[in-house]
Amino acid sequence: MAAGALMTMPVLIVNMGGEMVYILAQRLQAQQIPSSKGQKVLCDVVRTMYYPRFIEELFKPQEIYSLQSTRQIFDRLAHSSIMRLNESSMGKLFDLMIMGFKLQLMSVSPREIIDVTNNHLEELRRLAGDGEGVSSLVEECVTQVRQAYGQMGLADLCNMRHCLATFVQDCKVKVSLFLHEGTQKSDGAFAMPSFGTLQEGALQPGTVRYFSGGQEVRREVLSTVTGNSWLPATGQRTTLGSNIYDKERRPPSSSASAPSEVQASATNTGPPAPPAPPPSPIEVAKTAAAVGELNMLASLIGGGHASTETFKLENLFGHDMFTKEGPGTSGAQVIQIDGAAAGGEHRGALDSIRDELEVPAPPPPPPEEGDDLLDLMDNA
Amino acid sequence: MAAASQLTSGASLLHNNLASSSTGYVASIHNSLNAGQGKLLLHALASGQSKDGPEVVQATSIRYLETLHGPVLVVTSTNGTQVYTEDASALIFFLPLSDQAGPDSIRYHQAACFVPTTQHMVIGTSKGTIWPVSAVAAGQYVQLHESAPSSPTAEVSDLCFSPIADAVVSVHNNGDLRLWQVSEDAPYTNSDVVANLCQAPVRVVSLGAQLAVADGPGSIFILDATTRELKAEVTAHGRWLSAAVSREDIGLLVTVGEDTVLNVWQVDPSEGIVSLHHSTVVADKLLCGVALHGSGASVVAYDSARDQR
Repeated sequence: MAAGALMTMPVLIVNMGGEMVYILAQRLQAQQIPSSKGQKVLCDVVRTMYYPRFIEELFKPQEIYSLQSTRQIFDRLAHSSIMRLNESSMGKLFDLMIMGFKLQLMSVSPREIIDVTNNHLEELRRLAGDGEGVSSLVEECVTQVRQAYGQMGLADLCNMRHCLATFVQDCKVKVSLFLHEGTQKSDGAFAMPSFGTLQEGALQPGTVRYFSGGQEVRREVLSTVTGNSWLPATGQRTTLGSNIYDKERRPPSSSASAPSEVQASATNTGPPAPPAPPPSPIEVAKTAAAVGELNMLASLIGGGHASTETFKLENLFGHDMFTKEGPGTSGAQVIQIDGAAAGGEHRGALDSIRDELEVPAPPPPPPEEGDDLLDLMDNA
Repeated sequence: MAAASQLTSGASLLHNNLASSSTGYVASIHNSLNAGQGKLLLHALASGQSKDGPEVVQATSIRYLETLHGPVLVVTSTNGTQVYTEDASALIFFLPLSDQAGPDSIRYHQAACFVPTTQHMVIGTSKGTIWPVSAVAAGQYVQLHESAPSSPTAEVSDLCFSPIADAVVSVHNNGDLRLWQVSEDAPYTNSDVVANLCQAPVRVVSLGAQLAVADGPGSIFILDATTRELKAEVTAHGRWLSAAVSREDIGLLVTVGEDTVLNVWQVDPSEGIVSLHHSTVVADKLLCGVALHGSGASVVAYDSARDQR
């Protein structure tokens, strides 16, 4: 069995990739892109992410990539469909992905990281649908996850978690959604709870069992400060890894619990901890925060005001869009996004995009030497 | 927790990621995936000054050992083991890895303890072996014989010396607890094994007539140091138990966990009866290190530069 620290990349890519798809899906839905067109975009991204050769290489024992190298992977993924994001918007997308993954990593036990990964895979399968064999690609990854981690020891899983924690260390981008939920503080650090649901088989903190001759002879419960704040295990899988950008906040189908409260989504499992805030104002704030956070991306994914240097509203796929891009891109039907362009009034532009989303994929960029996973993505 | 001081960077999520010396230094590890950016974090309790220590490459454990010539700082890693002066200003000794990693494994050192009877420093390895180093005097460290376990086992997670058992005690990632008979100049002998004692041991400490093993899922196992019979199991934390430290002379065991809680347990030296002296929420963070010193205890948390006291 490979050391846990050499099996971090699948968990990293699957979970962060899942977060990326959630964010993109939310924007497509928010802009009322017809579902068939939105599905096409998501299908392209997911199909690239789960390209068989890429997955095969991903699951080989290897050291974890640096933040910069991982960013390059997701740059390629985000651009595997007809969408293009400029540096600024890609940076914001990556920040959201990192912080979402970091919160999940910090909130679960070492073994639950795999549950979070499976939650992402399950949700991706639902979001991307079954177009163009995407479902089978995701299913193959589910199988790989089971094979790679199903028998991994707890210490190895812990080592893997420690390595992933080093990866996201010092990332403290403030996310409105998390700030409003109370899971993130004003300094960007996540607030860890002192309560939650115990792991399967665990007793109430403070329980002391005495043994003689290998048999339990007595038991008592000492009063730790949070001993009564822990609920017994429910047998239900964590809901972390589900789509927090989904307005309905539906957990994966394998979870039998009702849609989680905001606070509980940041802890392991189970019902929310007391006291619960009034739902209506929080729900409004959450939705507004999520929309606000993503509006920047929306205005960049959409057309925005015409800029003579990037694109024209009346012809987003026109030849003039790519004058700055040089040879190789002229005539390529790609939405060019300029982060410097004023955003906001993108609805009209998106209306014309809807009719033109079914376009051939652009030619892949040249592979970078030494970037094995990146090379494989070019071939997807 | 009455006060907090500032380290130069945030502590990494590692087990037992805080060590303290008898003369007032605390040290922690800041690992990094970027070359050249991993480092030790040092803090002097008396002056309140913090500074960066030497660069580290994927450090796995940090500990102050109280040798007969004073405290030394022992840092294990995927490079081997470095032994520094108390303030980490000078490297005293380096123990390299004994072999190279394979394509699907990592080689490293982890954990260290001091054997006062022989003045040996003992290092744990990812092969499940232990490596004694003679530390008779400063500047006179000598690598001794790597000692193999009596049967296949997993990586060493932690080590301690038990005076009652007169043996080094190791705990391994597969839950094994192993006893090693000390030798002056020959490999140590793995004389006893308690297989599958726990799931993922984080720390083993000597508590007089008992041994205490802190297990990652949140429990503490109290064993008779002479017979290794299980005396008690304490469910100490609601989440992962990340660090433990002891005051053997007064039977105190302090644990911190990712449930944000610090607990102070007292273990009766004769019967192994456990009582709870103190329990508190330290901060809303993943606690990952605790150290005891004259004026109390220090605690560090993942991704936080604050040293809570």
